[in-house]
Amino acid sequence: MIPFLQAMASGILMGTLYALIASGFALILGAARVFNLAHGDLVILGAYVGYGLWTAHRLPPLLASPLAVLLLIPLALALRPLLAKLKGPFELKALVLCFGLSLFLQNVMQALFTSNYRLIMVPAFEEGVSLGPVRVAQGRLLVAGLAVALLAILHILLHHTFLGKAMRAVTQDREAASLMGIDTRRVELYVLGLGGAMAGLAGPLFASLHYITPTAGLDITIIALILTIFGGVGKLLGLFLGGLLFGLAEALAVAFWGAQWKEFVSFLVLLLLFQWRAFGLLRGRRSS
Amino acid sequence: MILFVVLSLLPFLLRFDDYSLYVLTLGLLFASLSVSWNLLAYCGLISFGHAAFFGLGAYTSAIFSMEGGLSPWITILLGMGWASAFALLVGLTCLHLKGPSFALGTLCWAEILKALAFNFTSLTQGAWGLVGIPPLPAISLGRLRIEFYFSRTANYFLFLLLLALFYIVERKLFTSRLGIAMRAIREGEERASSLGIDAFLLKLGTLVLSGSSTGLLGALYAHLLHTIEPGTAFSLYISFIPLIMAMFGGMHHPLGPIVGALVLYLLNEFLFQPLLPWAHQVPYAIGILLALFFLPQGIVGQRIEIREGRVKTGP
Repeated sequence: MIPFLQAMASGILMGTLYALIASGFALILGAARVFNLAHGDLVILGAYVGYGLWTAHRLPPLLASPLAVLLLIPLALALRPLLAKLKGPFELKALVLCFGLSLFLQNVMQALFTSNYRLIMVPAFEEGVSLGPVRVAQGRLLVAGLAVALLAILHILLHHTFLGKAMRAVTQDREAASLMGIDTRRVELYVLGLGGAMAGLAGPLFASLHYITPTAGLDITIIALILTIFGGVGKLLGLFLGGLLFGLAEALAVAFWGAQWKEFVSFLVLLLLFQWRAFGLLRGRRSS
Repeated sequence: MILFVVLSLLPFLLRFDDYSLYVLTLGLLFASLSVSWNLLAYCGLISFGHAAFFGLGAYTSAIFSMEGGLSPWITILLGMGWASAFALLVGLTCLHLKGPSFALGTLCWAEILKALAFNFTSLTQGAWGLVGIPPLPAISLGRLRIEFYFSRTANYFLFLLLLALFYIVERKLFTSRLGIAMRAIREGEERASSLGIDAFLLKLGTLVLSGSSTGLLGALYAHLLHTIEPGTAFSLYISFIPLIMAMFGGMHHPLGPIVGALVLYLLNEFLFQPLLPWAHQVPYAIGILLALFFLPQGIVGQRIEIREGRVKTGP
């Protein structure tokens, strides 16, 4: 029983990080109407920045995260001029564009970092801490705490600042928002930057808990997508809950059947979610 | 037409060099794959999961010919059958999804099948893959004996014939009343439905056709290479490559996918692979970006527009 509780606890802790990753994806999907399939690759790129800084300078992932953000914000912002040039059905073309960029990023990372499995192994992260009946790794707890804190900051940003309210307004109804005098293009730019920042923050943290490869981005994107469909765009609480549930489900699947079923579970969950909540993504935008 | 004449003369020009013929054969395979994928795109459905049909066709045919001892000529049809049945399942679970969601739904199916192929080791040998898949048996036509195991030329012409067949079907379809209905769905599904087109049925039919032809290609691929593994048969590569090739060539013209596939594949194999081996997929990524920003109609579409004077050159 205890091993299962243990697996569940670490799954839930991992879930908070998933929620952090998904928050950037959901913001971009909501306000810029882009399925950013390269989101996971951005996270992985951030993770490699963290890995490089750790192996070269012993810089812990917590400090590497802000540096990864500096790299990823401009990259995410570079999406904006590309998106503006798309012709034809926007959402579909944007999806294909992000797919192309994801492919490009994966290849560049493969060339730069080789396809070996990498992990930021911080010795202090490995030590166990007792949480009631279970013991979890210190690093996992720390990362989860950080993820929750960052999500809380994001929540405050979205609900208590003008910019955040503008972002939510654009997510809910683009036309009405622009009629109210919100510069939707500028909001989109901010959202892309914020999404990139979230990916950058999450990257090094992810690499300190989980092995990374240049092509691991897709699985991360899929998880972000699952949480977004589950929680709905622009609903951080839904994302957070989805993250906890998904982390739990994943940990249980791995504990029962083994790690090789991980991808199977996440794709199956996504497919099932599509059956029940095909319009979950569009909720809030239906009114127009 | 000229393209096909050139393609059928090509082996003679290359003096039957085995390596070039092999690469060209795979080029033809990808061209046929792009044509199959493009059928679906013609109704406005972008699939990210054609690897599902391809891998299913490959595994079905390989397993039946290895375990069942059936002739590969029969098992490729079985592969095709399984792939079309699976296309029906994909259609019933994904066709209610719009645009990006449909694409992601098909991606899910491909990845689910990949995971199953990895994990059902008793049937598929998992990551080891299936090795020693029998080649296509020779055909005797009178005194002529066509040997698919030894002759690269025979394989080349088999795939060329197949591509020609796919092209003819595609062109017939696009110019028929069904093709007009497919275009109508692409441009506006609700309007098309209001004109009496059964959009769901037409899309489902197209998906099954596209899936079964992709399954056939997958099955042939298994017998051409004699070995398959989940990582290649169900790879993301198989799913995205027809998308890029068709977009690059032009999705709205029957020749587009073929031209796009041949140009990109040959560029990649003969230019990028030897010069920049680390960048073996970069041409595809660049191709997709080029197609999105500079060639919204693809190279074939662009040429037609210039010829018909629809594109203004200069300011």
